[in-house]
Amino acid sequence: MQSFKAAFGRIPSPLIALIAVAALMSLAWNISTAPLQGFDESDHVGYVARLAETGSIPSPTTGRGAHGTDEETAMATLGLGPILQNPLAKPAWGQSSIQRFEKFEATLSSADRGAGEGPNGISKNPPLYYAAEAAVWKITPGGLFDRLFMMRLLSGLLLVATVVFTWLLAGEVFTRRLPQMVAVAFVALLPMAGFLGAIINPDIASAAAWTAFLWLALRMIRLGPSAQRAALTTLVAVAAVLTHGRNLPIIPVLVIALVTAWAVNKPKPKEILAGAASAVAVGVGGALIYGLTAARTTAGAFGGEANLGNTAAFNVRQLASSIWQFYLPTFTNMQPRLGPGYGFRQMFIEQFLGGAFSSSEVFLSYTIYDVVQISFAVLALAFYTVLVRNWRTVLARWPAVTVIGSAAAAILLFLHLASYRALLGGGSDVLITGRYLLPLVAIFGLALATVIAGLPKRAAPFVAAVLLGALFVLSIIALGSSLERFYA
Amino acid sequence: MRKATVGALLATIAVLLLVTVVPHLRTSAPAVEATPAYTPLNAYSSVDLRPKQKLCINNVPFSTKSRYAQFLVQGRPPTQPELLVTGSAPGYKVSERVPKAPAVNGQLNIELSPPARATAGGTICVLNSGSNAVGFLAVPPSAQSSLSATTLDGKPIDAHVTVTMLSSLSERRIENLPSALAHASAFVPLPVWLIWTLGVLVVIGVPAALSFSLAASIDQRRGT
Repeated sequence: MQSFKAAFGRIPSPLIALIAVAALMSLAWNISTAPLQGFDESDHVGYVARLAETGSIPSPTTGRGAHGTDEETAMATLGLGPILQNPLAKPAWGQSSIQRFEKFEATLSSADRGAGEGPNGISKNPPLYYAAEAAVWKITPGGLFDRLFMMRLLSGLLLVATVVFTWLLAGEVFTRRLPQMVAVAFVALLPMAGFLGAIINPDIASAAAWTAFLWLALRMIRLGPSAQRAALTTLVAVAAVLTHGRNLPIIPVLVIALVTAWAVNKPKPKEILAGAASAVAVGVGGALIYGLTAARTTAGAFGGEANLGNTAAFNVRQLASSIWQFYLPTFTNMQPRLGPGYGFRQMFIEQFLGGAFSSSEVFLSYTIYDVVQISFAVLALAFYTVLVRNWRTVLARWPAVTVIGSAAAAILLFLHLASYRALLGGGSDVLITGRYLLPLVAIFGLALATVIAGLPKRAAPFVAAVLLGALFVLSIIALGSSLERFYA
Repeated sequence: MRKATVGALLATIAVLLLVTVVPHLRTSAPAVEATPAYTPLNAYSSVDLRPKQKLCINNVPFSTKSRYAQFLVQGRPPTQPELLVTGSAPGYKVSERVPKAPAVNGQLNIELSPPARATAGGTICVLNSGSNAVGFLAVPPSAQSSLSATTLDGKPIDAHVTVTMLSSLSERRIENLPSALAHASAFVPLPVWLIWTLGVLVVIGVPAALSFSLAASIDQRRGT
């Protein structure tokens, strides 16, 4: 008990306050979002229930249904299915309706609850996050809604973990407390982070894994790439890949981090060999688990949206042009970008930094998105100015810049590549959306903190105060919109 | 420095809340009690109720605050149909003759006396006592499922007539907040008072925690 107290006492008080902020925001989102209404949440729950009750993963292509009998009945009799994406429809919150459902639910067996054999498109995802949620499902007493609430709390814990890892990551980058605090407060207050930390969806686990990985990578570079540190960093990268197919770009970033650590610390060949061997051993172990679980399902390789199976005419110039037009205006000599009119504004501003919630039907006013976009542009310009003005410091910190920059580039390039491949065959689904940027949330926080760190010492706290105050109000507006959509 | 920074944080929050959230909370909107047959988003159909015909919608939840049944009517006039509307459930029966119900923007709001006890499996029936047909907006079954089913003259039909139960046609959002929080408590294992406490903690506790964290971070070098 005393050692716990001592350990707790060592946690910096600003971090404790920010953990409380993240926990409160996550809990508020949990309550204000009706059950099964998050992005694909009903299918994620179907996966968890199947895994918890039968030990098997649902099929992505065959079967008689994606959900257990309890979930299916809740969706049908309490309106949680038909209200999806229909803001004019509300769930049946009346006590008599819920009691009727609970009475029916009490008659169900474990087999009924795990009946969601498929087809479930979500089962293309690897099983790590679902296994953790399945454990919560198993240990939670009560009915379906108790389980859903507790499973959402696990997502909340992952948000808190992301906050803690962002603190540690920012501690590797900054020497002053204020920018460190700003980076973490951004993660704790961003509405999309709070929302994804309150629904059943592996995106928040991806964010936690990427943030932990970046912290461990920078720590390994600072302290030296011992076999233990290389193994631990690789282990987190493996966990990320076992969480979602979209996290595959963490592998090249891991290689970059290891090479950077060796280049910076110049260890003896024997030490390099030990570090490489331990990383490879963990990587092979992860690949074995990946292969074994994939073999037990009909999902094949857990690709998810990351499945790059479309081998239609790939053209590097067309991909480059597509990425250019995603962010910047189209030149007259450019071929129009493939797919629908979807770009930076939709993905970064409306669906991520501002946010579109529930199953995208809860969105904010366009005035708010405009303000977010203008703020983003001003901050991006300030970020650029700070980097240019402090180029010697930036150059001196090239290892951290390399790892963080390569992580951001790898995630974005991978998303664009997956989107481009999906559109090549003439499809209209861009396959990417704002929440896929969540693994970058700590990097966004670091960028904001860099701006604060670059300001004059007297101005920095005031600018930080205004930005964090605005971010908090944005969260309140988003939370209120969700509460109003479902329950008012 | 610390006090001024915390002041800037709290002032930013107060000003932005006053400019954005408070005006919104002062606006009015219908207060929904239940949507047993949903208003469709993009797939519509219509059920014509001819003179002397009667349509019934089953599985309608009546709460003690269900004061209005809102239908959506379609098509050309008459916009003031003559109807007899009845609501019934075990231990509850209410009947309302609507001589010339005014449909505003296609919405037909029928005032009903709410039951003393909430019930889930009620029925609302509408008898056309006028001389003109009335088109009720409905959801085609292929487009969206519904909690309720519709019958026309006792026979099931292949569409769900939409109905929304309201406690008020127009209520300030701030006044509707207690109901919204009570509704939200239905699906979580938390009592309403705890949800209220959480709400207060979010609105007051989060700025307080941010203030503390910000003040404690000024002029500090990184430790752990």
